[in-house]
Amino acid sequence: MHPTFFGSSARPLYGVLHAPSGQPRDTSVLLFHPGVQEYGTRHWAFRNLATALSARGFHVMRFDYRGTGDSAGEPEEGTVEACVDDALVAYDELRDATGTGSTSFVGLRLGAAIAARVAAMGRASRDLVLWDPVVNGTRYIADLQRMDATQRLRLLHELRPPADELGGYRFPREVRASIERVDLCRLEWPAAARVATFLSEPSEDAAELDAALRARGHVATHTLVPSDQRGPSSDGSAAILGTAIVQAIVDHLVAA
Amino acid sequence: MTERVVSFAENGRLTGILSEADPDRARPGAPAALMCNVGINHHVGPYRVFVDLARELARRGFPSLRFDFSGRGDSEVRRGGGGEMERALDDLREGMALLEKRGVATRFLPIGFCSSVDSAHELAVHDERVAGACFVEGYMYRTRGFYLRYPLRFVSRARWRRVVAKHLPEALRDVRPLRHLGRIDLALEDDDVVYLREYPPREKFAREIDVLARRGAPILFVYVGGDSNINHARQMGTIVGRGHENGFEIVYYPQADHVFFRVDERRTLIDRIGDWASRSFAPR
Repeated sequence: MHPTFFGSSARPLYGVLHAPSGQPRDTSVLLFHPGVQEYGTRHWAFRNLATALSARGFHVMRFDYRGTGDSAGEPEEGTVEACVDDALVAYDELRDATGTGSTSFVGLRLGAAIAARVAAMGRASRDLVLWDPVVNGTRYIADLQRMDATQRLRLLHELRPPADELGGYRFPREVRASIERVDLCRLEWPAAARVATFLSEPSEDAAELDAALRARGHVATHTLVPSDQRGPSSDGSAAILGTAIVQAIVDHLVAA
Repeated sequence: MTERVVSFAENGRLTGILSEADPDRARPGAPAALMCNVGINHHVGPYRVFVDLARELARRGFPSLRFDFSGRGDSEVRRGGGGEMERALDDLREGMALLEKRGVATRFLPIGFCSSVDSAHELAVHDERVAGACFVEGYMYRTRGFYLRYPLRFVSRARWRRVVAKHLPEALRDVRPLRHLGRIDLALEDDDVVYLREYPPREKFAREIDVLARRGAPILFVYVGGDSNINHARQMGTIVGRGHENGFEIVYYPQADHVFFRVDERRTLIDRIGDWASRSFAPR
């Protein structure tokens, strides 16, 4: 593991590069964390995914968007557009550091939507892996509101959060609006996109996305990985380890 | 303020972030705060509280190191044996050695939060370089006063709401007055969400706090309401003896929760720790 700050020195981003062990491949993998509300409970799963991919010869990088983890800034700055900008900086950092011929993206939850946006901007993504993707931003916010209400009930608070707060963080209008605009079914996907979706629990949104991609002639697969661990609809307080789904994603990228 | 990634200990296996105040704000002789993993959380802490706290402390002139113990977060696994506490203390001392070697600090201020209080407490008691400590939701023991006040919890509307939500029959979940509760999928094991851990015996704890008091190390204890083992700030005085209250501060936030889920309460916590540190460690 090689942790580093990168990007602008005034507003650095934090990332961790995982060098390949054994015979290195000519492919790197950029990992896209979920949004700030789901970041903490998925961090361990992402470390495991990065470690497993590097053990199979991939160069891997995971990074924190502005206002999350150790990166500069505050969570309320984290519009989808800002996260896309940060991902582009991380993409360049990964390419510069590794010099690999191609790069695949793996995005979890909101990170999947951000990865798709970056891929749609023409970045050379070899494969795009969507892990429990946020397909529709409005429905994702409804998920966050249910998670928030459960936490508030559990922790003995009033159920209704302040207008600019959600899931333990500030959630200003601009961030909400940017997420509401997320709709992967309407995204202009790159022509050669190979999209694999991995789900820890059935999702109508993901099935709809699958159908939309196939209708446009893309190669899209859709895999349900049953797990005894909680899926994205859980209450948001428990860590998601995702051991089985991590292995399935690694196997997919190795086979690809 | 500057933040830099540091890799330290054998083969650079431990990873952390060193935060330092700008030179014109740096507080001469200030102890460096040490913050580590809270449960499964990596070094940023629950709801990123350690990042915000590190930046607040830097604004007040204090350096800090937040890092992951061996095998957690962004740190590599450590080879060799030893129990969990022994490994945690070794890692903390590696962090202190790094800061000493870099000339950042020679005195230290461990900040424990819930489970990370265990190693912060041990370090504070047994390492003379620890100049003070802050324990958030650390050890607490139920006293006679706690049990006398215990029935007051049943006047809490939020507590009754949680009981109703948990036991609401399926048939009533979509009935209008209960719909907002019926839509919440509450899979609670118990009504009381106490974050149970193994505490040292109460007498041992009191003796160890006495060690810190005699050393002149200020301590800030922070506790919250809800499902915790405390329901009044005076409860700690009963345990360690009131004579020591000059040496430490006890803060009780009855409206806050164990993880400081609400933004404003987290901000209050951070400001309080910053104020306490500024008052306790005057520039040398």
